[in-house]
Amino acid sequence: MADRSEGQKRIQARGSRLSAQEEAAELDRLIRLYVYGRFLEDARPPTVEQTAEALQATSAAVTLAYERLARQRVLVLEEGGREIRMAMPFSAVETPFEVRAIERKWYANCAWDALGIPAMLNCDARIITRCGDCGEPVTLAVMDGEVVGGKEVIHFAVPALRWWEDIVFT
Amino acid sequence: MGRGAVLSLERAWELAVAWYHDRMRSDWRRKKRTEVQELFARLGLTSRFWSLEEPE
Repeated sequence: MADRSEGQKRIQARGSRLSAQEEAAELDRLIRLYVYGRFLEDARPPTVEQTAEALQATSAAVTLAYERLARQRVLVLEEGGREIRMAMPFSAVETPFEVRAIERKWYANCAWDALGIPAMLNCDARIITRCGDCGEPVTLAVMDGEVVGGKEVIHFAVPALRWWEDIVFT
Repeated sequence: MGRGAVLSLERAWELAVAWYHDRMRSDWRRKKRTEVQELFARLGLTSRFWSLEEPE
C-alpha cells in the first residue's frame, strides 16, 4: 500500500507539473497574440505593464512569459532589459526598413522582414529603404500578392545556421 | 560563404510569404529545424549558406 501511495503522489505531482506547463503555454500564446495585435495597431509593442493589465496577469508572470517567448525565439527582448525589441518581423525601434500599409507605418528588422510584414498581413504595402550598397533611396511595393520593384536583390550576410547567434546583428 | 547569399526580390518575397504568412494565427508554432530546412529546399535554397546542419 505504501508503494501505491508513493506512486499516486508521483503521478499527482507529475500531473500538477504538466498542468502548470499547460497554463504557461496558454499564457504565452495569449501574450504572443496580444503583442502582435498591439504591434499591428500601434506600431510598437506593449510594455510588460500594459500586457499585464490587458491580460489581467501580474507583471512578474508577464516578465516570465516574455522570457520564455524569447528563449523560444518568438520575441527578442531589449539587451539587459525586460521589454520587447522585436516580434519578428516587427521592430520596436526605428530601422532603415519602413513599411507602410493599411494607413499605418511600421519598422521591420531587415529587408526580409520588411517583406514579411505584408506577407504576414496579406495586404498591399510600400517598403521604403535604402540600397545597402550605394545608399540611394529604394521603394518597393507589394501589390495583389506580388512584389513589384526593379532589379533589386536582397543580401543575406549571415548563414542560416548562425542567424540566432546575434539576431540583432542578423 | 563570407559574402553571404543574394536573393532576387521575387525569391525573397516567396521566402517571406512561406515564413511569415501564418505568424499571427492563434495556432502558430515555431517551425522545427527539419521543417525550416524543407521550406528552404522547396524554394531552391539548398546551398551551404542555407544549411542548418553544423559543418563537419
